[in-house]
Amino acid sequence: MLFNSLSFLVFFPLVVLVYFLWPKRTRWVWLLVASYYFYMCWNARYVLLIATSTVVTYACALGMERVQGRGGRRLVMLAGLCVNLGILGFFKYSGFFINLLGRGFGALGVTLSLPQVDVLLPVGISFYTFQALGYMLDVYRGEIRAERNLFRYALFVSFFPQLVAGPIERSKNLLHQVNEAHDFDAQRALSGLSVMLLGFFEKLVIADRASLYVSAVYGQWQQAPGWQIALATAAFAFQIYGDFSGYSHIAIGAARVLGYDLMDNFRQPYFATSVRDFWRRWHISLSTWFRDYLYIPLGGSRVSPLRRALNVMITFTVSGLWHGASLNYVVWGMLNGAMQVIEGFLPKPKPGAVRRLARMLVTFVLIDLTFLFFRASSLGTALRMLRRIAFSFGGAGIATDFSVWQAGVLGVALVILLALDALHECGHTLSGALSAVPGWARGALALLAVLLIVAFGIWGPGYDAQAFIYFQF
Amino acid sequence: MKKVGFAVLWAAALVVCLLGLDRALRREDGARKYSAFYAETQPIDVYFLGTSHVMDAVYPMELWRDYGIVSYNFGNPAETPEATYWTLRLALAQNKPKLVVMDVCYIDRAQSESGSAALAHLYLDEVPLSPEKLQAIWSLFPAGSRAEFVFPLIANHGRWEELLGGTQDTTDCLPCMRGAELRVGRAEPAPFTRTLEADGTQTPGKQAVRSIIELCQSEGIEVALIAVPYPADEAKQRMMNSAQAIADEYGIAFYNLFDVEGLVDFDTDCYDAMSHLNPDGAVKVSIWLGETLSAAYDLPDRRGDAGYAHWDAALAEYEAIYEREWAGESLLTGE
Repeated sequence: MLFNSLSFLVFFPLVVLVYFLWPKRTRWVWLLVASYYFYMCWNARYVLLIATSTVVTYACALGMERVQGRGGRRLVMLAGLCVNLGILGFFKYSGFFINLLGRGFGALGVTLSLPQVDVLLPVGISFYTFQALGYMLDVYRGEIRAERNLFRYALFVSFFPQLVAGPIERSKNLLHQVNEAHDFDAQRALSGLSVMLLGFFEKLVIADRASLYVSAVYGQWQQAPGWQIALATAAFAFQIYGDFSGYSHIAIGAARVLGYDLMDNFRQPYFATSVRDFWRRWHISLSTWFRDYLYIPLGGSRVSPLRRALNVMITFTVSGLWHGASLNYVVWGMLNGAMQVIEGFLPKPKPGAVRRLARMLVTFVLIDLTFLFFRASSLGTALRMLRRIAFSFGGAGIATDFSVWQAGVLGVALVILLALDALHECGHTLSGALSAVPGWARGALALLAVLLIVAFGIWGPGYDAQAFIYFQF
Repeated sequence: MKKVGFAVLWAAALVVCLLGLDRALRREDGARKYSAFYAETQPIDVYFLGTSHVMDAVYPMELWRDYGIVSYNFGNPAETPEATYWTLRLALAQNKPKLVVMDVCYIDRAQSESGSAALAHLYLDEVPLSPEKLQAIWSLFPAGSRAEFVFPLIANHGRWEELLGGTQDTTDCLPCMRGAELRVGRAEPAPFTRTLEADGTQTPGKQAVRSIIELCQSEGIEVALIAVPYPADEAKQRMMNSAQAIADEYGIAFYNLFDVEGLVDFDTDCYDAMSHLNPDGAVKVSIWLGETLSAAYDLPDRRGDAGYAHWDAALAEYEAIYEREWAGESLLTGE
């Protein structure tokens, strides 16, 4: 079930209604049922995977608390890691590694007859696996106590708003909320609905409209001049931002209506003034996950510059691989790591508004360049597209169905999005800015926003309700 | 309590705005086709049902002017007989005619295989929401595509681009045409060989035609079948010819106009190569039908009836359009 589907428009209000009518002490049970139903709407059989991941990490966490000695705890933790990463590896990476192996031996002149693995990637497997592993590692480190109630813990892993595309929640933030009673709070519900509205705007008006142009150009890049590929790649930067930030906002808003607080996942990423700064603002829940559970255990930054560079490269290479089992994702991650390593050797930037603006632009261009590897269908395609940008920049663009009206709508929507980001960057919030406005005017604004999303969003028949880009991870 | 009141007001305002948006973005062709039907306060005596072939071939205003027959053309592009069954049922909720004439062009088609959702908006969007309309939607469309017929805004919300860009839909169907379509043009026809053979294969379309006949008979409405001539290939002709067996089964008339000598000349009367008739062909078919139906059925001549004065106004409008759009091209002039 997609957030941008009519089914969700029925499912969510129904879940909220029953949730608040349900006896307060066991409301979490209803949420667990709803969350599993939500997941099963994709593929009922794959619910076994999330259940397995849940039971294994639950048992390992309890085991770690009961086993005496650091060695024993470590063994239990490693067993949990192996099972979960094994499932993730089989479903997501087996094909990739078998292919790499075949190509490697092929390069040496040896032909191997390797088995073909063709399994459907379970939606959100990378997200819930990392969330469950994060919990297990927190218990291992003694940062939290293991949850005794399996079903409450199952809700922590499967909480439907963030189940399939994050934010990847931390046990310290979400688990205790599962154990709390949540009353209906009209103010809070309104705030949640407003955040959801923003998410729908980002997804339906920006991401899906931008995708029309991006898909058209990327679909026939061989005929497109370099400038058009560059323009489509710039549009993709906003498509993926609108798509993923939109999903995160819908998730955060939906959780807020239910009385839960999820962590922020984006903080004005295109206002970043360096690649390192960008990664503090982009997919924050994943970046901090890798920071806490990979980068710091590797030694973090309190090591020699060379070792630190290596740690950054390892972290971002793994991050690239997390995004997709393909070489272009790996190169995308490595490029992001390499740029941060290089930044570490550059002199400290001088202050000044113009310089800051210039750094923002340079950062955007660099990040956008890496997005070309992210969006291209393969590493080879990405390199050939780059060559077209470098050596065949001019010429007439290919014809697309993306009309001037569509470009106009997308342009206006981007101005709104960037204005909102600028407001947040200056330390303000939209709700704060609107607090002085009378209630009826805020209501009218919300009404207008709904109507604009309905009219200018891409949805309904003729539109193949696209899965959010990050669902595939 | 104040907050609840505000929420209710806001929701009500949202519904009103969405209905307004729905109306603003609704395709105009549906309204142009059905507005006269839903505005009609007087009885309509004859319904023509079926595909675009009948939509383009029968002009109710010709029947009105020359025979005083009050009719409405419910033909719709690519409408399968299963859909036509519901078109009829929904139209019967508004008015009960004396005679239904059903086009058999698509009796070889099944709704599940060829029912076009986009075209279905033409015959469904203007029908007021009712339990019967919901029944029609549930019967005709698979689960995933029903919502757009209950709330047409789901399908039409992106039409702002079409409206701004000036590429608006048109079926050349104006309210004064009473559901018919005036398609101006003359095309060289596809090669045509007449066959008298019939294909007796049973199809969902034929079953739906039987359901239509049975529905009419249960309501006390006379019913006839019709095959509108066009340069159809032989397989299609064989299927249409097989309607004679259905007509015989129920003891009703089947007007197979392919066999009416000299009625239509494909060399001059086709709007496009493979299918529809242009106004010359349509006027010929309409006159033939007026003559035949008024002789075969007890249809009142309502000319001069004060309640039908607005039909005279529509006739004047139709004649002006015909004069402007086609008279100069017509080969019927002076006949």
